Amino acid sequence: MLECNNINIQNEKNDYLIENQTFRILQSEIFTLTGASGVGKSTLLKYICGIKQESFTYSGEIIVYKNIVSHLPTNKRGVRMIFQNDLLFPHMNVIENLLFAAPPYRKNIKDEALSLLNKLNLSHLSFKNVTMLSGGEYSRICLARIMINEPKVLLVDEPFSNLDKNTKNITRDFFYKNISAMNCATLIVSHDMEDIYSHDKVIKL
Amino acid sequence: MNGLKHLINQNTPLLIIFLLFGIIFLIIGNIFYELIIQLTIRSFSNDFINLLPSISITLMNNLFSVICAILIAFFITNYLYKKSSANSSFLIILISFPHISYCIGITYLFATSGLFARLFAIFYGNEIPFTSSSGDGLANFIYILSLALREVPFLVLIGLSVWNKINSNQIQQQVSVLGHSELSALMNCIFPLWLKSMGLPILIIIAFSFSNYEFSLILGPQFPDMINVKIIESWYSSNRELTKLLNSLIIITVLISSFAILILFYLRKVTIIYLKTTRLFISINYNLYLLGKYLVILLITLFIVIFLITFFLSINNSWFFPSIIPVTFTLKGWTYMIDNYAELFLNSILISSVISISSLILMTYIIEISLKNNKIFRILLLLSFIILVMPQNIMLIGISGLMTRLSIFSIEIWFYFSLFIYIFPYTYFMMKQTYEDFNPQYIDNANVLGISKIKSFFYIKLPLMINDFLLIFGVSFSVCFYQFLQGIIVTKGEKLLFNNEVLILFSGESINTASAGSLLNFIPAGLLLIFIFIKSRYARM
Repeated sequence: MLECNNINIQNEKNDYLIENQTFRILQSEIFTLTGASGVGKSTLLKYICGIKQESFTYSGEIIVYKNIVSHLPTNKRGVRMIFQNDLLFPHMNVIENLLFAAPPYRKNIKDEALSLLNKLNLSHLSFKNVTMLSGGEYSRICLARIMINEPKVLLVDEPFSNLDKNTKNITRDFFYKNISAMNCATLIVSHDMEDIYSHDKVIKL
Repeated sequence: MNGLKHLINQNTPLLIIFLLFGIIFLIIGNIFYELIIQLTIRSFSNDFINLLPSISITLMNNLFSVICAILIAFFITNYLYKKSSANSSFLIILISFPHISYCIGITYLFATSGLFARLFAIFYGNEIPFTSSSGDGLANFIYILSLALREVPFLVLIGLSVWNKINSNQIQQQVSVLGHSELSALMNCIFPLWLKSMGLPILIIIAFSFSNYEFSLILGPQFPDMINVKIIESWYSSNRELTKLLNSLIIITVLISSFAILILFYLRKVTIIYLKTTRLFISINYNLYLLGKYLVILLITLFIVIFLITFFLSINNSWFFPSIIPVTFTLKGWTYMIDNYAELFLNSILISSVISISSLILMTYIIEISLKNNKIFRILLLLSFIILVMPQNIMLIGISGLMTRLSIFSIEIWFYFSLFIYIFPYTYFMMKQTYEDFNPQYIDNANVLGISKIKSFFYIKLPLMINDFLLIFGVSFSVCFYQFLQGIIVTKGEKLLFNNEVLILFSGESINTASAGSLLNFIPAGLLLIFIFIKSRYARM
C-alpha cells in the first residue's frame, strides 16, 4: 500500500508545482496520474521513489506498507519505478539484466528468469544484446526486469510515449495484463486518455 | 588563384595523411628489417635468458602501476563527477607538470636526507625508519606508485567524459529504483561500462610505461635495471656487445608490452564478466565517494609538496638534516640557469610553439576539408593509434634508422618531424572532440544566408571555438615542450630541448641548479595553461 500525505513540491521561485496532494493506493490497485505537460507528474513520481532534484523543495509524508519512508534513500523505500526512458544496462544481455534486478535474498534465479521470459513470450530474446532490441521489445524487457524484482509498490512514468501507435497498443495491453498479475500498488503517469486503465482510479494534477 | 583552388581540393587532406602514413610505415618497416638482419647473426634466446631479471621486473612494475592507475582514476572520477566539473580543471595543471621534474621531486621525498627522513627524525631521532629509494624492494614500490599517480590525472580527464557518455546518473537512479545499493550501481554497472570505454587511454599509458626513460632511470630499481633504461644505455654505448644487444632489447620491449596489453585486456574482460554477474555489492552500503575525495587530496598534496620541496631546494643555502625548512637562502641556482640556459629555454619554447601551431593549423585544415568524410577520420584515428601505442623509444630508434638509411634531410628536420608526430595524435583527439561538440546549425544558418565556407569559418566557427583552440594549443605545447627521447635517440644529443638539460643537470650540477632547472621547466606550459583557464572561465561568465 502506498500513501502520500500533503505532498508539496515548490520550484526555485517558491511557486507550487504540486500542492497538498494526498492519495492512497491499496495493494493490487492501479491508479493513473494525469495532467498537462509540465504540471509535475514525473517530478512527483521521482519524489515518491526518493529521487530529488536540487532545484525543487519538497515536503509531505510518504508511507509504504505503514512505514514512513520519506527520509530513506531510494533503494530502501520499497518503491520501484519504470522511467519514461527506462534504461537496460548496456553491458548485460537480456537475461543478465533480469538476474541483476532480482532481490538480494533470492538464490538460483536463472531458471525462474528464463521461465518468466517464456511466460511473457520473450524467451527468444533471452541472450540478446539489449542494444539490438526494438522499442517495443525494450519496453517489455523493462517490465520483465521489474517483475522479477517483485515490487510491492510500482511507479510507471509514461511507458508508451516513445512508441508508434501500433507498438503502443500491443505494449499497453501487455503492461496492464502483467501489472495486474503482480498484485502491487501501481501508479502510472500518462497524459493520454487512451492509456487510462480504470476511469474510477484517476488522480488529476 | 587556380593554384590556390587546386590546393584546397578535397584530395589534399588524403594526400597529407597518406604521406604521414607512408613515413610511419617506412619507420616501422625499417625497425623490422634491422631486427631480422641482426637476428640472423645473433641468438635472441641467449639474450632473453640473460635479461630475464630485468624483463620480469619491467613487466611486473609496469603492470602493477597501470592497474593501480586505473583503480585510483576510477575512484577519483566517481568523486569529481559528483562535484561540479569546474573542480576538475586542476587536472590540466597536474598533467602539465613535467615528468622529469615530478621524478626528481619524488626522489627529494625519499632521499636519505629527504622530506620523509626529516619528518621521521622529529619522532624517531637518529633511529629513523628506512626511507631511501635506493633499496630495490622500496624502489619497485615507489616506481609503481609514482608512475601510477602520474598517469592518474590523464586517465581522470578522459574518464570524466566517458563517465558522462555512459549515462552514469541515469544508471545510478535505475539501480536504486531496483532496490540495490549505490555501491552496486558503481561496481556492477558503472565500473564495467567505464572500463570498457577506456581501452585507448589504457593502451596509451601501457605504451608510455614501457617506453619511458625518466621514471625507470630516476625511480626504478638499479639491480637489475629496467629494460627501458637498458635500451638507452645500449643505444649510447660504444661497447660493441651492448650495441648488438639493442635489437634483442627492442624485440623484448615489443614482446613484453604486447604481453602486458594481452594480460591487462584479459583481466579487463574477466573483471567485467565477474562484476556484471556478482551479487556481492547489491546490499552493501559503503561510500566510495569519500575514498575518491581522500585520493584527490593525496594527489594534489603530492604535487604541491613536490613543487614546494623543489622550490626550497632551488633557493636554499643551508638546509642541514634534520631541519624541516631551509635556514638561509640564495638565488644562485636560478641565476646560473638564466645565465647559461636562457637560450636553450627560449629555443625550446619557440620550437614547441611553432610545432604546436603547425599541428593545429594542419589538423584544422584536414578536418575542415573532410568534415563529412568518415573515411578520413578513420584513417586519422588509425594513424594516431599506431603512433601512441608503439613504444616511443622503439619508434624513435626506427626514425633514427630511417634517417641514416635515407640520408636525404638534415638531422634538424628529422628532429622536428619526430616531435611533430607525437603532437599530432593529441591535436587530433582534442580537435575531433571540439568539432563534435560544435553545433553545426550555426554554419547551416550562415550557408542559407549565402556566406562562403571560408568566411563562415573565420567569422563564426573560429570565434565560437577560440577557447577550445587555445586549450588544444596549450596541451600540444606542453606535450612538445616535455618531449625528451627525441634529443637522446634521434639526434644523439646534437639537438636538445630544455627538458633534456634538466635531467643532465640532475645528475651533474648542484642541487640548487638542478631544482631551479626542474621548476623552470614547468613555468612555460604551466603559465600558458593557467592563462587559458582564466580566459575560458572569464568567457563563460
